[in-house]
Amino acid sequence: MWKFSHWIFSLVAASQRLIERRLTRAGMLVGSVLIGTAALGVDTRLTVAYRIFAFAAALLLIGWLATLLQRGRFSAARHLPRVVTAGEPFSYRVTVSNLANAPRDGLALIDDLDDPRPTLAEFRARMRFPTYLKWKRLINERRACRVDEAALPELAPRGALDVTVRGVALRRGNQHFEGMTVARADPLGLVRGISRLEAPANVLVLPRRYALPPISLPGSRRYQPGGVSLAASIGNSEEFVGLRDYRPGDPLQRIHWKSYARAGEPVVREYQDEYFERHALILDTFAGSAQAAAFEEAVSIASSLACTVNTQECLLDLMFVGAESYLYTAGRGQMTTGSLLEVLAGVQLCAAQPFRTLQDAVTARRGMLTGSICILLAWDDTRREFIRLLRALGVPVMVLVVSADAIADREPWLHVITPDKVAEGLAAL
Amino acid sequence: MNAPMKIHPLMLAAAMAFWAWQRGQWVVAVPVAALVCSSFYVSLRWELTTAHLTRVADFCSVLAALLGVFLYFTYGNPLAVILFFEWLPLMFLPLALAHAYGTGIGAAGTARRMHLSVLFWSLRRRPPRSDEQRPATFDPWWPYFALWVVAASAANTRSEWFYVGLVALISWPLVRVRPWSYRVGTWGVAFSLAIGLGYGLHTGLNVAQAWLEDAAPDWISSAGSRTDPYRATTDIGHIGKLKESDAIVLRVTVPGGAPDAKPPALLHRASYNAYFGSAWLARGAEFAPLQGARNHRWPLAADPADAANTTTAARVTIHDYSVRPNPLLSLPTGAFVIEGLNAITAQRNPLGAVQIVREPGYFSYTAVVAGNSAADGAPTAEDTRVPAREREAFEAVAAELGLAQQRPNAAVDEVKRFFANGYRYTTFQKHAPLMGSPIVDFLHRSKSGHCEYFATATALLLRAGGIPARYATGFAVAEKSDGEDAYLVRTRHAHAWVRAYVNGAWIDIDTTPPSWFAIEAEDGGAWSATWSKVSDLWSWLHFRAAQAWANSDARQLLTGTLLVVLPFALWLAWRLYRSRNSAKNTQQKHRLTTPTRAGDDSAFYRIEQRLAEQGWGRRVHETVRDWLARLKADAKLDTTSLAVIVELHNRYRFDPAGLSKTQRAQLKDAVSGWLAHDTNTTPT
Repeated sequence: MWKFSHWIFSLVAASQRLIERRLTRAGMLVGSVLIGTAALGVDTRLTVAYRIFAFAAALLLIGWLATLLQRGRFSAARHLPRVVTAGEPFSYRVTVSNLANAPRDGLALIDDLDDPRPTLAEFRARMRFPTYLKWKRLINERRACRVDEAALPELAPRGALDVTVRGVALRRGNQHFEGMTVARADPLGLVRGISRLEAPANVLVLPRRYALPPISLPGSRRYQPGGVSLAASIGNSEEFVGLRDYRPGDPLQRIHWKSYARAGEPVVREYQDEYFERHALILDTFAGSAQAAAFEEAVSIASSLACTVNTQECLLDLMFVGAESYLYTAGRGQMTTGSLLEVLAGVQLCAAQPFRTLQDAVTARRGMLTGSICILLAWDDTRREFIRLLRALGVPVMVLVVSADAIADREPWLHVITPDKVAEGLAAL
Repeated sequence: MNAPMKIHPLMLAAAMAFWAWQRGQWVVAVPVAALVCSSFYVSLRWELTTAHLTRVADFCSVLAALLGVFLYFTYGNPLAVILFFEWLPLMFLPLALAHAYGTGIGAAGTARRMHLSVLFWSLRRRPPRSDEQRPATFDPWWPYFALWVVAASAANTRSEWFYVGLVALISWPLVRVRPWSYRVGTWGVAFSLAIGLGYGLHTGLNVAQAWLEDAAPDWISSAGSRTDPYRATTDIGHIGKLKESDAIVLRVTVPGGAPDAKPPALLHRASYNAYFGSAWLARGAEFAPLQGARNHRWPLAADPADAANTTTAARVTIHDYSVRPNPLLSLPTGAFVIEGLNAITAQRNPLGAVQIVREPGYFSYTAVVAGNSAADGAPTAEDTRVPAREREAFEAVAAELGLAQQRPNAAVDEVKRFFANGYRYTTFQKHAPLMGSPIVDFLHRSKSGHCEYFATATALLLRAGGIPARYATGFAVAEKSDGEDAYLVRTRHAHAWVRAYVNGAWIDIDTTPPSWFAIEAEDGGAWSATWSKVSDLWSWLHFRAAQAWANSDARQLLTGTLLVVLPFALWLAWRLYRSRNSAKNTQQKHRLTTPTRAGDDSAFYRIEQRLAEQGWGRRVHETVRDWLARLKADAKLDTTSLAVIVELHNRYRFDPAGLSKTQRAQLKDAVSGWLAHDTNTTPT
């Protein structure tokens, strides 16, 4: 049953793709009429719908034969962005050239993304019972981008022109572009002949990001002995940078009294020096595939936080466990926020390692950490113990649990975010 | 793909004219075309959103569904399907007009488009996420154009001009959609080839169907419910299994009879007198109109001598499901009058077949029966002829049985005895006939077959014995319905027997072993039995609805209509309720996902609303403070208490720290108090 349903679903998806590529809009209408009249005209004595059926079939057949005779000669160069962001539209330029000595019109440019159809093994692993709806969902999950077909204006003989192709990044990850197809309508304008051009490329889709309210990060500044030896602006300079809210640990002489009086809250002057904050952004990757949606949102929250934290003023350590335990540091001349997002674009769920790996990696660096933000996927005993340990070690922690399950008796400092209400949950931080 | 092409209003008008030309409904098409096409020239528009269009589309769907139900119960399939398609464009006219005169969506100057979700419910339930997918839109005029053209084909005018009109109609948009980089000649050649190929293809399809119908066994073309009075193609010689469907074709009742009164066992439809190949033909059997009909009463023969017989004679009512406009009646042997038959004309042939022409819809009739012999035409030379191919074999058997030497009654009994011994009923033929003629093979070798074998062999054997005999077809009536006082006749009850001329009258002789009925009934598994029950229930509902409709019994009609309409009404109500709910949900969702201003839910706005209702609303760009000053000056309103509320409101609105829970409650209480107090101190 699995093999058969996989085969039939693949066939339906391939036919749909074929129809979309090979038929113009007019061709699709003629095709719909063909199907409708095939049903209505099945008994040729009752209606004359079979005559419409025959004419529609003849039009499509002649159109298809005509595409076999035509030979399109085109070349195209794609100017893709390196990264795009999930949930955001993007556009890029493609230069299409007509290599023939005659003008060409009725053209469309289709970007060929890699085949999103799942393999039989994945199909079996992801479904309890094969249904077409789930198959469609699986295909959508596997597609990182959707790129629209672009209509091309008339191309002069040996002419070239730039066309803007628009698309939408659907989810984080890598999107492979296999090539491009220039489709040209037949003389009747119904069926399209296609010229395939090899143009492999990749686009990295960064995680979706949410708008965050101003977040006061937990913890105070710590001395970072040689931890940022590569920092560009390290030193003892007393250069004034700006004013900011008081955080526990700030020396009293740094308080800007005028601002304190005005705001009613302590405000401190900030100088550029070797004392700086180092925050850990800890991402929980330990969950089953059933929690994939929650994990995606957790990655999005991590990305949003990575972008919100001003890494010019502090260091941000992104920590998570994949095949091994990873640590990426951004800020003060180290990696940029963009690089962190690229790392997050590739984070996967970890099944091979225990949660303890992450705990060990974090506790090993406790001395350097000003504070930490933990994005967890559950609130079970292991994770409770991990947070208790961090707090016991004196590392201020902000804990966000991304889970659809209700958490009973939760601590007041625990932020629970449900996967389908992330924006609302983050706004309440 | 180039920019979508706008339809020319005259193209739509041409499609409607094409429909009217085929259907002869200019009275309908001209106003519709005028209404639709004028929308392209006038600027009159209503503000109709997608939600409005969705409701109109739902209305059209319900309308179409009701039309479908009405047509099905009135005309039955396939006529209902054809008529449904024919009128479908009109069912969707409200939607077309709503689109034509609505503001619609789409950039100025381009074709106005419609959300696909208007037509497809599945797209409504899972609206696309705005950041991932744009809602799919389409220009509805092109599908509507196609719908009119397809609907025109349902009129089934077999004229060649249909194809000419079709080609002319399609060529117009095709000229406009063609890529201009091809030469005109190339387009011309391609289009001409398509026209030629289309013509060849449709002619071929027509011929292929005719050939298929000729070549296929009779049971495929459901012979049971479609009897040809001139020719009966049998399955004699056909190898394999014979299986007829369980569909109910007739319901038979005995009006005024005792509760256990049984109708006649056989209902006759047509007889044939010439056997040729494996088909029976009705030679020299011309139909003649039935005369003397009064009050739906059609006499078939002179009334029996005893006039009282007409009132006391047995009556059998047959409820017919035939959808044909000219069906053959199923009549019991000995019927001499048909009562309650609402026919336009009726005709009868010498072989006893009665054919009527009637209005479409359900019909029933009551046969008045006297005696057990048929008043068919006198025997002719055809009724005694045995085909040369079978003559030798049958004459040998007739001689062996000594039929010619016996009196006709005894000869008939002898033939019955002959087939009762050693011959058995089967619907399965394993081998092709080995002895040339399949019927001779049956007589001498296989000795097993279905009713057509028995009837044909009996007819030929009687003829060989000098007794005129005809091959009769019709139905066996033996299945009593479980739920009603009626007998059911199914397609698989189609039967063949012999009418023999004995002692100056045509009598029925059925030599098929009586076990045939049980064998046919058992011929299916558990699934088939379950399906048969469901199908019977549907057939009964259909029968009751059609009967109520035809008899126009107001009470029954009302109940029936309610039964049909109620689910639709409930469904529509649920849809409307759901759409209201989902609109509310969308609004809530919108509120949650879009960044809201802090303090938007401040209780102070209730005061603002109250004052606005009284004509002292805050002006655009007027600050609350200025407004209060104006109220104090112009409306002579005491704003002291309001000042405290405004202070809290402003903090709630603009203070980054906001208000505590207690302060919010305080604000709410203050507002409620002010509103309660205000009812007595309305500003003047």
